[in-house]
Amino acid sequence: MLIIKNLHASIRDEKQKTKKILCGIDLHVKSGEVHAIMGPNGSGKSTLANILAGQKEYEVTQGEAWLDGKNLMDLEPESRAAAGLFLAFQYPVEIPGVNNMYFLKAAVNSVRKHRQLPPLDAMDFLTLIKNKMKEMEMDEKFLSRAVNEGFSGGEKKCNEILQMLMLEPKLAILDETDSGLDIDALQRVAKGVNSLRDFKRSIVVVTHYQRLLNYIVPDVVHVMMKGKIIKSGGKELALELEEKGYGWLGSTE
Amino acid sequence: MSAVFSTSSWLENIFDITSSVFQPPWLQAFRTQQFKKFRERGLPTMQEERWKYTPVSYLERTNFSLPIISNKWPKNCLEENLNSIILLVFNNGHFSEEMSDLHLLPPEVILSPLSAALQAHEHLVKPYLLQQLDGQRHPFMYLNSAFLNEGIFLQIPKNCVIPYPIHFLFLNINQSYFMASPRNIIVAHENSQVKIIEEHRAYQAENYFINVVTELYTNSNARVDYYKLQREHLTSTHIANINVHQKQNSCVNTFLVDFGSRLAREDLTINLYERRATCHMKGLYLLRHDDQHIDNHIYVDHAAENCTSSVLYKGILDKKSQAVFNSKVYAHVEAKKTHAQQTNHNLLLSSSAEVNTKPELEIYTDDVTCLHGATVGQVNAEALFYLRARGIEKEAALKLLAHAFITDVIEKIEDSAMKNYIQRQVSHYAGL
Repeated sequence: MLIIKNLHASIRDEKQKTKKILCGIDLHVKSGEVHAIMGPNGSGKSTLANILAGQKEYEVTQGEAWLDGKNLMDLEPESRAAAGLFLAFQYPVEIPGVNNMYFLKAAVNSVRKHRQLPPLDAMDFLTLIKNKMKEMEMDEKFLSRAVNEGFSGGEKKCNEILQMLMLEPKLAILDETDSGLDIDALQRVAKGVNSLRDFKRSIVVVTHYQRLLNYIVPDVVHVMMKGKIIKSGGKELALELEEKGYGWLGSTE
Repeated sequence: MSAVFSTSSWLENIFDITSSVFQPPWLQAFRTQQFKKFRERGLPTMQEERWKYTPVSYLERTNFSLPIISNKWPKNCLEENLNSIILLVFNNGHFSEEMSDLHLLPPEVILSPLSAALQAHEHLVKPYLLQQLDGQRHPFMYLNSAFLNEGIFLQIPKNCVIPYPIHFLFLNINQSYFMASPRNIIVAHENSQVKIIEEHRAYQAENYFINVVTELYTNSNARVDYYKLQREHLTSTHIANINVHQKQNSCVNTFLVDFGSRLAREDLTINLYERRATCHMKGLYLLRHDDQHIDNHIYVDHAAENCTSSVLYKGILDKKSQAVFNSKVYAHVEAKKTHAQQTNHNLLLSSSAEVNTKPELEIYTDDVTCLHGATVGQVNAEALFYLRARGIEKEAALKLLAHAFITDVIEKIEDSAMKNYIQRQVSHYAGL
């Protein structure tokens, strides 16, 4: 599904100084697997997620990333989405003036067009989205509001998962989707993610905390530090990190 | 500059032709006087502050003729109109009775083409026509007076509320290189109410020049909603003066939408003569083409106490287009407790687009609340990425964000039929 080979990336700061953020990431996520990426602040987890989605702010200096045989670095962000990649943003942006329902319909039909499926008409779309909103226990009034505008932190995250359910990606990357969620919202988000889980889809969960992984149980846990994956293991690794923190890993470098 | 224009033989020629048409002697004398004044004043030059970004000298080098009514009505030119309206259609500046529809007009209202009003109600029309417009400041008003032959005369009597919008539709059809000078006079008497939309469109007409003057007299407690939709051909020139005269407690709402023309200039002048008059001005200018130029100038004269004015204009500029926005609030000594607000926001979709924006205040009294602000920005890169990351293609995402930028202004239109009409026009013709 997702193959990342020796990926290096950097960013230019305001003084045009280049700062390396990713220093050779190797990652292989197979169909049906759930991988968790953990690590301290500034280790490059979110950068990796954003680079995979096509954020051009970062410069990929070396390496490659493949989704189902497609070289992601050759594709525009919208083509990556069409190819089945979905990033649930850490900070979903507010877009005043763009109606949520209109946006979702445009997104779904744009992706369907790429996948050579006929567009959903207004009725089919409405039925589908209402079902998905029920799953997420979201109020239908969100549809008539502007995208994320005035949404609480939890509402924004639920809206991300709603979009994911509508777009049915092959690979979903959740970038700290659990941050700022109360227990109820966390469970709703996890329920949404788990409903998508099947043998054809892969999920990458970027998180600081083990908590989310109680609900979305990973097959593999990676630890990222200073732009590299320094340790990988099973789900028990997350528990170990929760207990000991990251310090003991750093000292082994 | 005036010397050049006075030797423009095309202008002298067409003036001679219009002068030979039968008309009341007072009108002929007035037009001759206005033409003389125009020649003395000359076209504005870019050395003048109010015209420094707006080049109009090409007009004197262009051989414009007088407009001739076209017998080729474009198919479906009336299909996309508003429903249930009172409609006046003009064909290259000439009134078309067959295409107009006045059956919903209340009988006590006078609404007719200016030429007919001059015959039927000369005593009513004459004082308004003879008003001295400030042609020194804006010489195109002299030019309009010199050439005026047609337009609209609308008089709404006391206490009359016209429930349907009145649509003034100026169609430019199948003729190029002509100059039309419509003059519209709207008089709303005490306590009356009316909604008007003035629209300018083109069908197979190019390189023409529209020089329109609209005078709006709003008496005590009257309310006028004035909309304007300018979607002229992209080779044309559209110069408009809209002069609003407001008495006590009157309320005027203007909404100008400009997306046509190679060069368009809208001068909106609001005179708040008496206390508690209110004027809310909104506008959109949408420029999508190389070398397109749209200029909005607003002047609000607060001459009495307790008057309120607000300006909210938004512009979207693409390609190598250029826009000018200038609004000025002038509060006289008498204009105590003036409330004035001016806001202008611009979205640049291209790095070669240019906008010059300047809201100004000139205050000669105390106890006023005056706010002004202007911004020029680009599309929010984060929002663009967000939309694209959801599979929406770049072009479509830009369009969504551009539309989002202006949607709050359109949403403020109270009349829902008018709102839908303007929204449709903007979607269809400005691609937003």
